[in-house]
Amino acid sequence: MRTDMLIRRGLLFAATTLTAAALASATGVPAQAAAPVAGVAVQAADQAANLANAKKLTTVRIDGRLAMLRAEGVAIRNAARLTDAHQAALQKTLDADIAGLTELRAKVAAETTLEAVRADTRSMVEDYRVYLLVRPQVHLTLAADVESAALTRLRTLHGKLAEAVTAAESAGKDVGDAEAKLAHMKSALDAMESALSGLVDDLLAVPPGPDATAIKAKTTAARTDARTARTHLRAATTDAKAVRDLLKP
Amino acid sequence: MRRAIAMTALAVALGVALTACRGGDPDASQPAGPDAGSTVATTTNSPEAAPKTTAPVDAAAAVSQADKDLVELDKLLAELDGQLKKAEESPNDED
Repeated sequence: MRTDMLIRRGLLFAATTLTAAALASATGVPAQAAAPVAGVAVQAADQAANLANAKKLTTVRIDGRLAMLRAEGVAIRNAARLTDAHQAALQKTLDADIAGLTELRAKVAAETTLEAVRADTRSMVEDYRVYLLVRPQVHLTLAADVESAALTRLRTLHGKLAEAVTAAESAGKDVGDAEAKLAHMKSALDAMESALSGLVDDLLAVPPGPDATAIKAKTTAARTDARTARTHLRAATTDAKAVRDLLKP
Repeated sequence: MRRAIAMTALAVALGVALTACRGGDPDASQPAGPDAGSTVATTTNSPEAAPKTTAPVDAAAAVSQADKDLVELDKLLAELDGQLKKAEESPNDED
C-alpha cells in the first residue's frame, strides 16, 4: 500500500518535470523560467477580469444616474406649480446630463485600461453630480414653486379676510383677536417671502465639480430656506383658519 | 297772474326750506330733480347704514372663499412635504 503511494508520487513528479521540460523546449525558455511565464499569464487574466469588472460597475452606476435623470424629467413635466422658466432651466440640465452620460457609457464600453475607466468614473461623478446636486435642484425648485403659489394665494386670502374683519367689526360683531392674527399672518407671509427670495436662482446657478463640500453647502442652504418658508407657510395657514373661524356666524 | 307767480315762489321757498331742514346737500337736488325718491337715496347712502346691510354678506362670502382657499392650501402643503422629502439628503449624496 505504501509502495503504491510512493510509485504514484514518483510518476507524478516525472510527469511534472517532463511537462515543464516540454514547455520550456516549446517556448524556448529554460525549464526554470516556466513558472514566471505562468504567473504573467495569470496576472494578465486578472487584469482583464478587473478591467471587465470595473467597466461593468461603472456602467451600472451610469445606468442608475440615467434612470434617476429620466424620472426627474417626468417629475418636472408633471409639476403643475413649476414656473415655465424653472421648468426650462431644469429640463436643459437633465437633457445635457442624459446626453453626456449616454456618451460616457459608450466610452466606458470601449476602454482598454483600468486607468481610463477610473477617469471615466471620476467624470461620471464630478462632471454631473446627479445625486449631490441635480436631484436637490429638481425637488427644491419644485418645493419653492409650490411655496410661491401658496404665498400668492395666502396674500390674497389675507386681504379678503382683513376686509371681512373690518366689515364685521363695523357691523358690531365680536371678532375676538382677529386683527392680531391677521397681523401675525402678514408677518409670517413676509418672512416666507424673504426665505424664498433668490432660493431657486442661487440653487440653479450651482455647477457640478470636484468640490463636493462646496456643492453640499449650497444645497443645504437651499434646503434650510425651503424648510423655513414651509414653517412660515404653516403658521400663516393656521392664522387664516383661526380668522375664518372667528368670522363664522 | 300775480297770484300764480306768488304761489310758485311760495312753493319754491317751501321746498328750499325743507331741504335745508334735512341737512341735505343743495347740489344733490339738482341731478335728482323733484322726485321724492331722491330723499330716500340720500338716507340709504349715509356711512352708518351701509356696513349694517352688507357686512353679514361679506363675512359669509369671505368665510366661503377662505374655506376653498384653505382646502387648496392643505393640498399645497401636502405636495410641498412630498417634494421636501425627496430633496432630503441620501446615502448617494457623496456622488
